[in-house]
Amino acid sequence: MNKTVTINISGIIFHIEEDAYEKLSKYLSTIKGYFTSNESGSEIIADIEARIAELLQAKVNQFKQVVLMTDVDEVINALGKPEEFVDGETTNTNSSSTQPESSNFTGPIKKRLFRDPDEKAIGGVCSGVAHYFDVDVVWIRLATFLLIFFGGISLWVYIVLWIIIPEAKTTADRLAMRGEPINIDNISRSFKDEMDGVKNRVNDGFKNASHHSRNGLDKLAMILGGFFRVIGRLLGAFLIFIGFMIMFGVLSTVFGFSIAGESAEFNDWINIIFIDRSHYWLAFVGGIIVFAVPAFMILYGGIKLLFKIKYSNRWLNIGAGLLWLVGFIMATYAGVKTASDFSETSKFKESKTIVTSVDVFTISAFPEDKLISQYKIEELNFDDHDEAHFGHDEYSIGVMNNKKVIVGFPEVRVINTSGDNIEIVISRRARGKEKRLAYERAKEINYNYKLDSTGIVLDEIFYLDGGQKFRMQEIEIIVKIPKGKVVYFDRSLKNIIYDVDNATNTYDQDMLGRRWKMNDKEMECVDCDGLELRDVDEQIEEMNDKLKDNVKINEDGIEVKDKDGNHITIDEKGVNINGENHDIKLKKKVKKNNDN
Amino acid sequence: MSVNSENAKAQMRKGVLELCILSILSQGDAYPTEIIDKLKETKLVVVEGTLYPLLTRLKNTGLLTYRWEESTSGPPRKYYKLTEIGTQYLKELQVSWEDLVNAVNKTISK
Repeated sequence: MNKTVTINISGIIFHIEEDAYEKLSKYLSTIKGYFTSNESGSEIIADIEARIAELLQAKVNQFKQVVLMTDVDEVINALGKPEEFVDGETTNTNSSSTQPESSNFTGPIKKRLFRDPDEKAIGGVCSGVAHYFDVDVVWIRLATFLLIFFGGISLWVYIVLWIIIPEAKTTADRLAMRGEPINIDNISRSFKDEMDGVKNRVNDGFKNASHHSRNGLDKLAMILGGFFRVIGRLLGAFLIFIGFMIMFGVLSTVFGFSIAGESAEFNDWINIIFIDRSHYWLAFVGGIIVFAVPAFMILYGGIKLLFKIKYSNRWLNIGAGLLWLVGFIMATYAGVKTASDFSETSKFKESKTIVTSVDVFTISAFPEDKLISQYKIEELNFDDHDEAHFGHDEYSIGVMNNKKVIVGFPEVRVINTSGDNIEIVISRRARGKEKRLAYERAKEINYNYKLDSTGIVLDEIFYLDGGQKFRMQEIEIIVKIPKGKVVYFDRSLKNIIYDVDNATNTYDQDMLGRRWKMNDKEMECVDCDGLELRDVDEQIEEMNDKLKDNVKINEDGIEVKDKDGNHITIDEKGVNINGENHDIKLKKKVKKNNDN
Repeated sequence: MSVNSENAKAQMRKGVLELCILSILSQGDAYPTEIIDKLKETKLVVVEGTLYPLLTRLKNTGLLTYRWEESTSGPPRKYYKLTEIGTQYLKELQVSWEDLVNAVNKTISK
């Protein structure tokens, strides 16, 4: 009598003699030992187990229910020693490892992206892509060429593809390269097949899991692998899109700046803001690298995912990382260096007391155009778009004695003073790396004003000497007016008047052309004749808003009413005046009440 | 180098095995046992175990696909089928096989 064991091979139950079981089990574990290193090892083992189950099933019947040692021996003989067939596989594996396409996907599209060494112009990328989409290579090359002018996009893509697409080396590669053309039908079919594949693996997984849960984890890994492959492709396409967008942004920036670089104004601002030209280039090139390198890598990763290219280049990754770091350092250095020259603000103040006996003190401006011709500043145009705005301030660059000069507008404020005389304070402000430097810069701002018999004439502009960097130079003019003094604001102040404290909250622009008297703390209008000093448009608008409910004029006629219901209408029915005052209304109500 | 004609024969068999499997499948889908039976008729297969890694590899390279079919007598069967690429690949192999046979025959008969 022999002891038997019950085993389960590929879902089939066998009764097997204990020693036969031991031999079979040893045989299987030897096979597993040979195949565990193989990528599809578990699949091969499952196939072999299925075959063993099939062979063993032929050995048992109604009368002979137990698998014997001789049966196992026969099975092992038929299948052969593991080393015999593993040997073949190893050589096969070696030969196939030169073809990087031996990935484990099961869709019917086996077309792969390869570079075609037989039809190459540069790297065979275009011909490879042409094979992939089954179009004439001429069109791909033409598109590539044209896209160079589209911000050079194709240049980047070409480089990425050249790096990551393997060259078709073997016949199998060439076949896969030419295989089934990729079109919408095929893509949707391949997608469906891939999903089916996932489904099948799920089903397989459940089917087999119910039989022997030992392989459950492997199956689960296979199922998950399938899902991830589908997601991986979608992610790849998404990454390519993102990479493209960033790359496009970077390239159009480069393009835009290189066009702007042609413009004199742009170059002037570069020279005047950056410490020197090299800082600009550092910031520019560094900035490009900081954005372009990640875009390149995203594109690279996306293409790898989408086309399932198993390519990894350590040097490329390290190189990209280093390049990015260099770009980052360049941009940061130039940025910090330049910004630090803006970090400190300092003021240089000059004040002057004006003793005057005039009844009305006039504040006016000496206009920009006259100043420009007086200073001989050329090529200056504030109305042009080249002017730069920093806060309230407007600046422009002109030429004086063949040197670039920055021109700007001062700001005029008028405040109250407790003193007896008018006082004027010219506050020059600038920025610099240190307070001291900022102060020096502030001092160098050129600004003038004149006193005459009627009052003060303020220059409408200030300018910086040629060669001065732009460091937020600004001028604030504070005119301090004692109580009781009358001031006339000339209309020429329109571009520089900034803030005047006044009792009626009148807009600064509306204060021009009128006389104002300083009271205890603010100014009051002397010759406004009770006019509401507000923007006319605003007044009309407000009036319309107010009248909206009371006056209606349209094609039907005119209707004027008040909120109590009194109204006059003129329409097709004639003229109707309906004046119901409270008394009449009351009478009617009383009447009605009495009736009831 | 030791002279071992058995080893040389085994290597030759392995080399043409791929061609034979693809040829068998070009006549219709089959599951491994059917393939083995046909190969056994031609004495190409000495041990069946050789076939499984080979089929898996051919499937992985995209020359074959498979589907599951239930069996009345045993575990579910994997039916292999030639893909488009497989068919093309087979054609190429057949051409180069004929060239090879001719060339070898000429060389041997000299």
